[in-house]
Amino acid sequence: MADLLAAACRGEEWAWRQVVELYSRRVFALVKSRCQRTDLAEEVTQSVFATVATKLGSGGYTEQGKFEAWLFRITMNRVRDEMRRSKHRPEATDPAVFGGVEESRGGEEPGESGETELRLSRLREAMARLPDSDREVIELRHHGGMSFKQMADLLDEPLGTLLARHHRALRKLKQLIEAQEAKGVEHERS
Amino acid sequence: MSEAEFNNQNIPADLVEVAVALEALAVRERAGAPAGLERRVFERTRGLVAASNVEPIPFPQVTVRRRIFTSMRMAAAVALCGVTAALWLGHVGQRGTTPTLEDDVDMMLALRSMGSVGERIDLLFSDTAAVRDSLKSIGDNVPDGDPM
Repeated sequence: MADLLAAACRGEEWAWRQVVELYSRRVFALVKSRCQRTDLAEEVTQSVFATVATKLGSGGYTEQGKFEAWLFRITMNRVRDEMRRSKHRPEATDPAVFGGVEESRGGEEPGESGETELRLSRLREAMARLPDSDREVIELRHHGGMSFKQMADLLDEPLGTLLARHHRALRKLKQLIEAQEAKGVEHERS
Repeated sequence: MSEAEFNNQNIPADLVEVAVALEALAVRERAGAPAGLERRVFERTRGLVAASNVEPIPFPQVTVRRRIFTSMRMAAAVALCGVTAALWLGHVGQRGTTPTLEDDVDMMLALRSMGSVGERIDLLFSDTAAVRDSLKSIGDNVPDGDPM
């Protein structure tokens, strides 16, 4: 990775293309999880990589084995800025937010697809209700695909603290999902 | 990430299912990125990275003449002050011996440019008194009748 970044810093396009291919989807997934809009997620992703490219091109980045932490710090800051701006914007209308019918994935049975979509929909709703600090850990870990060591570098927290935060966030999610399921069962009965 | 990998992170057993579901959601979000995302991101940012290949514009070197000239002026000023001070100290040193009239006049002339106006006036008064005393002593030594 160090060699790739060094080549990108020298302006070698092939290296920069590889960096983009390695990280753009992870950045997109994290941003999409927060803003729930595909177009906005791509816009923020473009902005993040523009910042990274500018820093690499101007010598504003020094490789110390913490590129991912640096990349996702930029991403989280950009997401927060966008969320503050989006408070004045209309609510997201991405069908995924409302658990609408999405195109079925290859290899899944139609029945399973419906149940899978329902579970994912409940998971998204539960995540939207998490406090920001819990949601941050979940999204960095799963959507960003970061290791706990990388997250410790990014958030400047001890590894043990991060593991505890992750477990606490998982437990809250579980409780929220169970509450949704119980509400769904009551609705069916009535 | 498999269920076994999650277990390696010491996740409590009752939370493994939620963690696995989260991972499945994340994989779906990554796979669901719009087609051509990487290509568009690359095309819009390649120029920013390639900018590092541009050679910086060379600016003309600033000459140091002014600095040298200023240093020479300062050195000359220091030398002038030193010479003046040496002259003054030389005259002051000679005050320990019996000052002659010529010495007093020379000192007055050397001190003309030194100190503030008030200080110079004070010095002139004291030196005038010294000159008067010198003249008086000369007069006392002139015999009577000498038309000096």
